[in-house]
Amino acid sequence: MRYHQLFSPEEPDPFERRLRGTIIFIAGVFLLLFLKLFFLQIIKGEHYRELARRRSLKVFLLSAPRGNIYDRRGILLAGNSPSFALAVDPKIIRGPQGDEILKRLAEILGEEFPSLKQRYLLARRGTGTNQVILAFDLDRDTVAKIEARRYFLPGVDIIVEPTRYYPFGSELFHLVGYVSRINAEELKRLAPQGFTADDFLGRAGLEAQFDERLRGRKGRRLVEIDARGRIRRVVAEEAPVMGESLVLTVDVFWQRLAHRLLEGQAGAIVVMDPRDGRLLSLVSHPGVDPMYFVKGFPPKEWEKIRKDEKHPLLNKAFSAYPPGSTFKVVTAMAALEKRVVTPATTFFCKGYYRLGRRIFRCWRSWGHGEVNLVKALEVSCDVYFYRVGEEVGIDYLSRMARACGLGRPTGLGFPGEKAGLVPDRAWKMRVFHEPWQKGETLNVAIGQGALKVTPLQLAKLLSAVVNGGTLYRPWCVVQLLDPYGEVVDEFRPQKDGKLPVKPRTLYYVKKGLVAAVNGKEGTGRAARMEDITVGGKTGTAQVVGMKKRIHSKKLPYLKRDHAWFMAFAPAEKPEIVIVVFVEHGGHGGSAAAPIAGKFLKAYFKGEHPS
Amino acid sequence: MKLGQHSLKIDGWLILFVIILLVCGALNQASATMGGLLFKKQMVWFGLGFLLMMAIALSDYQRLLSPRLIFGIYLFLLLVLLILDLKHTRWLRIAGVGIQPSEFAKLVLILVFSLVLHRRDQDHLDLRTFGILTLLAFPPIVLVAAGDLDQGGMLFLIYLSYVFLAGVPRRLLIGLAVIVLVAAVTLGPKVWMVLKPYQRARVAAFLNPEAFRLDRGYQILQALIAVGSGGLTGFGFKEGLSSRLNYLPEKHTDLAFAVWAEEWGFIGAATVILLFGALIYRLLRLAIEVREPLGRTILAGVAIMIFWEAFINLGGILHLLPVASVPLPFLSYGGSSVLVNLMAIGLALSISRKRYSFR
Repeated sequence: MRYHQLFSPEEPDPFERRLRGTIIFIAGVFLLLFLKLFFLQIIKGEHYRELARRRSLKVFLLSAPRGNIYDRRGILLAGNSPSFALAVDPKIIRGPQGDEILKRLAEILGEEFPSLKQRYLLARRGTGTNQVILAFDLDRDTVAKIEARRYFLPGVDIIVEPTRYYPFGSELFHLVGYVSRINAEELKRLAPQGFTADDFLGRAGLEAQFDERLRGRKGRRLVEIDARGRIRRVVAEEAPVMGESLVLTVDVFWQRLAHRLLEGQAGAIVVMDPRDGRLLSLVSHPGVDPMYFVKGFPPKEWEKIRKDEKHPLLNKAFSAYPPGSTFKVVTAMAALEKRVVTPATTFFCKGYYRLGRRIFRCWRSWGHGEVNLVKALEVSCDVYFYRVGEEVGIDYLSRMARACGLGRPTGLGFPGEKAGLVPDRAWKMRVFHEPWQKGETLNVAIGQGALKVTPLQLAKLLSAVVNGGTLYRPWCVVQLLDPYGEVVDEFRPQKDGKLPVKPRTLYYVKKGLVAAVNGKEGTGRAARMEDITVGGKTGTAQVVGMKKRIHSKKLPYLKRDHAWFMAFAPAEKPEIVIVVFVEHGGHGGSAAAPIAGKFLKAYFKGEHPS
Repeated sequence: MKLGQHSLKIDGWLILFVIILLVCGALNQASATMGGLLFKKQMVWFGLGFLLMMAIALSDYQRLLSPRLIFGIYLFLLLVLLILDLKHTRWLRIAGVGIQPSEFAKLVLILVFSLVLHRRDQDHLDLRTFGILTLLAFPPIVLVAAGDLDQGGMLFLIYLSYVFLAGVPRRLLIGLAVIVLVAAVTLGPKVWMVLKPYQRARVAAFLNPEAFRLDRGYQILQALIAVGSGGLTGFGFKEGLSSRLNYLPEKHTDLAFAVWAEEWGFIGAATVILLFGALIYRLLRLAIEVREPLGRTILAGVAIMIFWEAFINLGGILHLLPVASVPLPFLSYGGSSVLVNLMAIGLALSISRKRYSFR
């Protein structure tokens, strides 16, 4: 039995010799088996373990509910509701067996098999992930049918996902914004960050600005998949964490009111508290029902919105337009600060102003007669402001405009907010390669020319004028709440600097604004109230230059003037500032001021606007 | 080696190896069949087989195996195989229990061949003996292969082994090797062209299972994943991913070893391979020690049978050979396989008791 005995030469028996040969042969074969086993399990073990894992373990991402958005009273502006989506696994649904399953699905969904298959193939090409969503928003009947036939539909899954839900539809569209499904390009870019094809992204408004905070953290579920594609066991699960919720300064009541006041028109209303810059409402009309973005547009509806000349998708509260006479507030401050005029200085308006060989007309062709600063603001006399504008000069005027917060975004932080434009010599040179003309200064002084401001900027400016000179950054989010309702983050008013003007200047400007609403010849009388003093300034911005003034109503819609009105109340201790902008609305005094008036009446007296 | 009182005792090593293998097989079946009905049936087969093994071990094989009986069984087997072939089935049903005569054919062939070699005891194989062996071998091989090609191949391997064991002259052996080699090189491609597509696919799937992952390569690929993912220590009893989630086809029969390797890792799988090696080595050692010609030829035959069964099965799973549908002794499910292998071991034990007698 010793080793040497195995090969002992004194054994003559040939059978025994052959048996020894057999032992060596078999030992060799077993060594081979042993080495191969070692190779497979020890050397390549990790490789095969990885293959096994990839084959039989699958990670499902569990989408996290998005944080809610509440108005300042806690009314839900954006929330989630469950919806059922049909997902299939492209690893299992393929080949003739896959067709079999798709045929069964088509029958349940009441769809033709070829169209379903085509949709599936397209969707599969798009995602490249382990799940292809075939249908969204299944009704409960369909869900029940699929669940009942689960056994015959391997690789088919119903996923319950929280879907964005906007109770107020288009009324808060421009403030809250909307979410929509990630598209193929974004998915390619964002996939490394854990995004999948069924994710939503915040696209506009607060949904976009606070997208990361609202989104929450996805959960993950590790499951074992058996050879037939069915989930056998949940190995591990990490629950999704709901996103943070927003509490706004905005009051949905005023928001809806403002929205209703713009019914049938295009425009924007910004309502701000001048004491700290918080927004009470921010409306751009018309809006779009954000549910269309969540669930997908019917082509007809999309076509309608795309072709609408009122541009429902554009947030007009952030878009820049010529401010018209509302800018005279800035010109007035510049004139007083540069001591070009005193409040007592008067000029005679004869209906036009001559600069060299050019004639600059006042809006009232027969003139206003003798006007001082307060009177000029009351009647919105162009000639007075041509005159002071010429003397102030574009350099000082543009500096004042910028100091008032024009020409740059207000700092609200919404995506897509426009900066507006404050023209000056450098800008002219840069853009037109021409020196500044004196006549342009006159146009800027009455808010025309290249000058552009947004309604939000005007609200910020007027707030500063009436609160003693402090520029507050507009803001609309007070708190961020975690899913348990605990406050995570709190926002406070932020000062954006002070107007470079003396209180005396503000006093006279305010006086002029009060006169513009309450004076006998005031342009903004439509916003007057009995027992509360309102101050304000109208504006009518020409959209196209014309030799003669023609009444806007006679012009085609797109050539009509923009109507502006900005107001504050009560004049003694202002607590609300409202800026009304009506695109192509015509005259500020007749188109915009009444809207502001109705809003203020409702705000202070609870009057229902008829 | 001590003589005397120990000489009549059966070989302890053999029993030990077989018992460990049976325990491994029981554990493996408990996992692969999820402890279901098949597991219980297998346990019954194990019990029956063990009793049968001990009964044969304690009997006197020389008295038991008369030439008349052996040839009687041989003829009976041929008859049964013929009937089954005509009925296009592999299974003989007796009182609701299925039996595979092709499994038993292995043992019957071993007995017949051993008897022939014993009767014509010579140093080398002469032409006449070769003719008798071939004549006796081919009827059962053809009859089995008609219904089950893989088992037919197994019988053919046993036949070949006996031919070599009987002693082919060295010159002839070298000549044969040269002829086979030349034929493989020159005729190989032509044979490849003549092969039917499905036969070619089988070879192609063996060479590159990844390319055939969904059809022919599936089995070997899943077997490789199962074995490889076991690593050093394995997933643990009843925890194998491939077997638990049904990725492994034929996991309680042909691929039983893959389940074992996945769940017990290299430690368990190497143990089983070593046990088979030790079992076969022990059988061959006994064949060397035993002087009685019939006994030692039977012992060698049993060793060779178990070797081929283990090698074909393990080689297939470990991707050294194309996968053949052959059960692994003791680990795979199957009553006939269990009975035949345990009977063979029983016979070996019985022979081992007489290793020092020269009668």
